[in-house]
Amino acid sequence: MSVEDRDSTKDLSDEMIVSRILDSGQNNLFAILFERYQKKVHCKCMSLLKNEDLAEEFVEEIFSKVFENLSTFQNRSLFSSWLYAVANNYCIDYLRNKKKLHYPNWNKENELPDIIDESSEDIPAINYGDLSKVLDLIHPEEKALILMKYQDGLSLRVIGESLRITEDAAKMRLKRAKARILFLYKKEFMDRECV
Amino acid sequence: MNIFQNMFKSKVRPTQKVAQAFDSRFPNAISVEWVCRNNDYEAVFYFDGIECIALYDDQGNLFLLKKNLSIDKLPKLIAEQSQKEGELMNAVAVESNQSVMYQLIVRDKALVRYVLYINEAGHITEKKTL
Repeated sequence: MSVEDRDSTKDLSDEMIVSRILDSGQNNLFAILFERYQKKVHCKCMSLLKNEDLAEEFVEEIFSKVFENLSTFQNRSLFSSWLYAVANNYCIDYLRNKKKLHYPNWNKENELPDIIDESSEDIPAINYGDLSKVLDLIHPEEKALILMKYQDGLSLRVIGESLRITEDAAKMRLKRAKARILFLYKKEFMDRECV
Repeated sequence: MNIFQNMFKSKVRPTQKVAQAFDSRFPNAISVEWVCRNNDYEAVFYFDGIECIALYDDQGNLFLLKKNLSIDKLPKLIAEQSQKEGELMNAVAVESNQSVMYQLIVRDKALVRYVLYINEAGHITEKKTL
C-alpha cells in the first residue's frame, strides 16, 4: 500500500474497511485491521494459552480465519467484537480438543466451598494485576467468559455462540465465575491482610 | 469504576411488583442481577447454592424458571436419552406452565456440540448444532 493510500484509509472505521474489502475487493486494506488488532488478539491468546509460540501462531491463524470468513460479518456488532469472539472460540476449542480441558469435570472437582453474596459485599477497586492473578486461578473457560463480557463488552448471546454453549449456560457459568473470583479474591488478598 | 467493580455493579432494579414477587418466591436468593428486556424482567441469581434464571412480566408473574442441574442429579430417563446423543456437558431444567423441559448440551465423539431439548417423558423435541 502506498503512503498516500494509507493516509487516506487510516481514519476509516473497521466496518467501512470491511465494506470496502467485500464490495470493492480492496483486500490490501485488511492489513490495517491486522495492525490495529494484532497486539490485542495476541494478548488474548497469551492470556488463555500461556504459551508465547502458540499465541503468535494462533494470531496468524485467527486473522486468516477472519479474512476467509469476512463475508459472514453482518455488521450486527462491531468488527472488534466479532474478531474477539473468533479469537476466544479458536483458543477455547484448542484447549478443549488438544489439551483435553473438561470444564464439567473441573467444575465438579472445584466446587465452591462458599458463595459470597456479591450484592452485600463492599467491592474494592482492585488493580488489574491482582485481578489477573485471580483470573489465572480459575478455569480458562470461566476466564474467557469474564473477559468477553467485561473487557470486550460482548453480549451473552455472542459469548454463548463463541464458546459453543447456550445463552442460558453462558449466564449461569458467568454467575459461577464471578462467585469464584470473589471467593478467591477474598481468600488471596483480603483474608491475608487480616492475618 | 474498574473492571472488578463493574463485574459486580447492579445496573437494573425491577419494579416493586416484580421485586415483591421475587422476594416472596426466593426469600434467600443471593447475588441477584436484573436485566430488563421488552418490559420483562430477568433475574440471574443463586438459590440454595444453584444458579437460576427467573423471568417475570411487568406485573410480577413468574413465567419461566431455569435451574442449573448437576449432571449426576438429572432424572434417570433424561440422562439415558441424552447419553444416546453423546457426552453430557451441561444441564438446565426449564420450568414453565407447570411442565419441565430439559435443555442439555452434549458433545459427540467428533466433539461436535449440540443443544437438546427433552421433555419430561424423555422425548427429544429439538436438537441443534452449537
